[in-house]
Amino acid sequence: MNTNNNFFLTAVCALAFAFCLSSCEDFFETQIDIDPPEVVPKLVVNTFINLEQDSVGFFIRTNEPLGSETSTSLTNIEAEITIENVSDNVTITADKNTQSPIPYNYLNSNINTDFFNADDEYLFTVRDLSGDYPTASAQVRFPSKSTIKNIEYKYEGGIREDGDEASSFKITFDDPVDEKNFYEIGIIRDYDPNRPSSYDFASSIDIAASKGFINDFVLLTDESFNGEEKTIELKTFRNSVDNIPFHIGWRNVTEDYFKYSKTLRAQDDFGDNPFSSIVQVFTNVENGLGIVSLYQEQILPAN
Amino acid sequence: MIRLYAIAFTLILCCYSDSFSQRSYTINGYIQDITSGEKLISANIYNAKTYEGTVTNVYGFYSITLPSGDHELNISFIGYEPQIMYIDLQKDTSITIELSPAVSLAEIEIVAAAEKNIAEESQMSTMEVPIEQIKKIPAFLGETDVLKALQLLPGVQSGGEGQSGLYVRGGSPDQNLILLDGTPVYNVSHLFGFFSVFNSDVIKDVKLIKGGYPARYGGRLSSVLDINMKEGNMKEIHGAGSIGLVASKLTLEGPIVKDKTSFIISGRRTYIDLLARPFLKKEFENEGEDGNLGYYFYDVNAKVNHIIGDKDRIFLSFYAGDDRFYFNSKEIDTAVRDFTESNIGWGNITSAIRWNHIWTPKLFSNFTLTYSNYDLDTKVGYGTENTITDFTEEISVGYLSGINDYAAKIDFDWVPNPNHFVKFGISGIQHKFKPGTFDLFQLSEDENFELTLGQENIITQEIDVYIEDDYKINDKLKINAGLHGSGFIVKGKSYLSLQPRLSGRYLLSDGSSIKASFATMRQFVHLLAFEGIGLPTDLWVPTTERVKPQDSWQVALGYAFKISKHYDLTIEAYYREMSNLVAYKEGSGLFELNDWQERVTQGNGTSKGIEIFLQKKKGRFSGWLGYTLSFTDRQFDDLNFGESFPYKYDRRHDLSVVAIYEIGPRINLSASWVYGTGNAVTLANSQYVTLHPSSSTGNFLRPSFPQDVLARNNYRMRSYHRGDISINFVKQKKKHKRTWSIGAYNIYNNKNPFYITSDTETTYDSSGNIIEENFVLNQQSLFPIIPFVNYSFEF
Repeated sequence: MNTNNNFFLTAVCALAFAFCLSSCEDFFETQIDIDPPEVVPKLVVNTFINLEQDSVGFFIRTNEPLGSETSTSLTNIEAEITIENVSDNVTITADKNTQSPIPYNYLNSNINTDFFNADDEYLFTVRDLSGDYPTASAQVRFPSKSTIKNIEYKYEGGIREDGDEASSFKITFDDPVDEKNFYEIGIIRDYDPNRPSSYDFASSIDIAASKGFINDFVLLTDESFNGEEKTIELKTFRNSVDNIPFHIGWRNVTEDYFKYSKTLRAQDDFGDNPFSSIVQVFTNVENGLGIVSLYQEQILPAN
Repeated sequence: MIRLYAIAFTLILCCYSDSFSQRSYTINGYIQDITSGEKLISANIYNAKTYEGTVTNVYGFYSITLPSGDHELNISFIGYEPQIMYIDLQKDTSITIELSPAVSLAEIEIVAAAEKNIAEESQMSTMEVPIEQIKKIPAFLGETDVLKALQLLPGVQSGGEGQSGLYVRGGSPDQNLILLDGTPVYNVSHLFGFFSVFNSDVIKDVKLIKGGYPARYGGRLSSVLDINMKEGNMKEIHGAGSIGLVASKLTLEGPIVKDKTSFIISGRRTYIDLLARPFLKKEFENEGEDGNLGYYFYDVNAKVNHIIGDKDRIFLSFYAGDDRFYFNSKEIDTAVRDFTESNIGWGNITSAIRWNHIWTPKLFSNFTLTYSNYDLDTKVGYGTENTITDFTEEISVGYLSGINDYAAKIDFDWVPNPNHFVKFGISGIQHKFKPGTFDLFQLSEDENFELTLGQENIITQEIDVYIEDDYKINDKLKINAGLHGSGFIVKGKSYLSLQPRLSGRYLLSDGSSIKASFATMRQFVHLLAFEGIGLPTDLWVPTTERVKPQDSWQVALGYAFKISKHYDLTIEAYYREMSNLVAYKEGSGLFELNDWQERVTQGNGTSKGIEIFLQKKKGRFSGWLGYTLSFTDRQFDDLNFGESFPYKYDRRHDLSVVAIYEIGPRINLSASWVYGTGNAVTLANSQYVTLHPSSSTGNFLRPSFPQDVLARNNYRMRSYHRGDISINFVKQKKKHKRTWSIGAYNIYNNKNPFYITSDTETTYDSSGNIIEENFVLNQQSLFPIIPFVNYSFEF
């Protein structure tokens, strides 16, 4: 009996002690700081070569620790860029002092893109001269160009109380056969071939379409219509009553670019959503980040 | 050809017949508790001279065929006094054997008794946990939990702090077939997984099979958890109850007609909402509102057991449980009153009718009809009541998802001779999947509508057949061989599968054996869930033409060794491959209106490991040590860029130690300690800027600021370890027995990781200017030390 009472008393004391501890705020602090993962240094390569429009952009940056103040200004990375035409073994090299044919950290139009051939494959290699970042590379080729057969414009009038109006475009095109094709399509208002013309908001409810990583573009995959004629309808909250012409910007893009753009959009949309699964942004840059995108852009009058 | 078949058939019959030996007779019947009439599952009965014997099935039925003449039969069961029975066998005989519960401590076998004699059973990877043992293990907030006790066994782990989900050998919780009296239970969690739905006061038997699945089980890849409810005392009225910090429960059982019909009924409910209601009401009133806020869960278990005659018996089982969170408020003292109503509820209902029939002394059957339903029902609404115009404006959104099953099955146990125990049967299930609908409702002066959007219900049919034989080939070699066939029909598409199962043991000596098993499994139902805590929003969906059934195969090799009279050791190594596993695509998630099939992707997984289980089953001190070394990964073409990645619950090391010490007849002390490698989580490694050419010909570039996620589940949380302790003070009073349980969860207050958040820490100078900003990661813990006290009683 005494043994039982002793145990009982001990247990009650222990319990009382535990409850006393519960009044100590620090003891019950449930949050502790932990070290973030060590940053794996990588070069961020953004390359856009638009064969149809003779524009080339080549941007080299580096990744940064999480929480760094992000800036869109270009980091001064001294790198050497090599582009090898894998098909004929011709290589060109450039660095930050070069502006042509590889405009370093500058997107330039009306550049002589004779080095690039739509049928060839290219190996891009970027080497950081300081040696702090591993050499990054990407091997890509241009996508096929599709034939646009018809564009039908329709003014749909006002659809919202705030006065926005809608215009729709039905674009009929031939999807190149025997290959997977990917498209990025946008609508340009007030197009001028002599100056940069930016894209406007575009959307589509087509089952094969999805939003680009910015709302001005619609992404399209030919999974459901491979090698066939297809008509896709695009809409924009604009009209042409003031007679400003519309143009369709039609980009044949690579599968890599399609994946990159889709995942970029998804991470942007769902990154903070606890009810969504994690999104990794695709890259075709080995040992690096970003995208090397070769594409063919056709600018076509729509009305 | 016909002659060939005839010869083959004759040979098979010879294997299962004893016609060539001395004239034989069969003894059959039930083995039951003498005090309550409760049937005993897996009780041993064997011939003391030849050691030929059998075990009772899940209904306590046994059948043993022996040569005519005198026999000495030994009957034993965990926690009961062994019994010797002498019989002069001259005809088929039916005997009901009654065993008395052991009274001395030394006789009480405790701890997860994997097998009666670990070396002799052909079945491997199986753990049977006596419910009395489970009640002695320290429990979170004093609430005894079957699933959390199972998490202390090797090869089984919890998803995270306080969670009751089971992750068995690298599988996910939906890959566990959890049966309550033979009925599948689809959601086993209360309060977001902190408690399981199984009320320990009504549970008789718990068996977990991690591998080497007998052919009678099918439909899930990872494990079978077979839980049987008590049948109710046939002799006299008894009751039990407890009052805890979280919930209280009361159980009543007894005869309706003595020795013929019994019942058991039990209820459990949390009451924090009831206790808080008066205080909350006052708070609402202070805000000028009438309102209510709270959360509760409840369970009701009931069972009726009726003996129709010597050969027939019928059982009715019922379970209902519900979780509910509610928040209602309405303005008072104004003419125009805003109101809000939120109600989130989820719960299961299961019921079963079972009919046992003894066809011959060697042939036993059980026919079962079951119903199982799980629903999540959510409604959130707000509005305005105008008491002057007597008009109410209201907008609400409801979400409903769930699954229900109707099933029928018949199982046969045939014991042709002591060397064979054959089981065969067939079952049919109709599943109705409700993959999520939204109900939108608006009532206003401008516009009224009532709209239902979302996924259509899907009805499917599943058929399973099986046959298995537990065959003692000779004194050393025993196998369990079987075949499970399953078929699934969904919208005109059908799937068929044949799944061979084989396990066996080879006795090296009296106390040691090697065991091996191979099993293939197929699963037609999938749970769309996030790799986080189990949420009621997790969605059950079927195999369809587009979403294929999950498959797996597993091999295991084990060694069982009886170290001494009291110590058993088992070591098992396993390897499992899984295909067509289901996961959400990147960026997909809940509460989307598009087809759920669009949101999922399928891939593969592997799991391999070694489990060591050392246990002491008898004596004042008992306990076990379980250690698991495992490697689990996943590979999906659409995730992690097709590269293989560690499963979130890939746990390299998992260790659990359980110790129970009977200080005296009225006090027992128990403690447990667990250690596990930290869970794998996905964390971004760095950030960067990318650009997009958003102009046709110029240099207009749109920036974006993504994060670099090196790989899925690329980061390990800190390791998890925790110690729990409890002391039980038992006292026999005049009319009842009472137990005070006092203890603590996480006794040394380790800050175990639950999830990780990121933040920016800012340092200011005395003028309030920012000096420095640093990015930091914070590990959030959930439970510090939590003491508990619980009072329980039995009468």
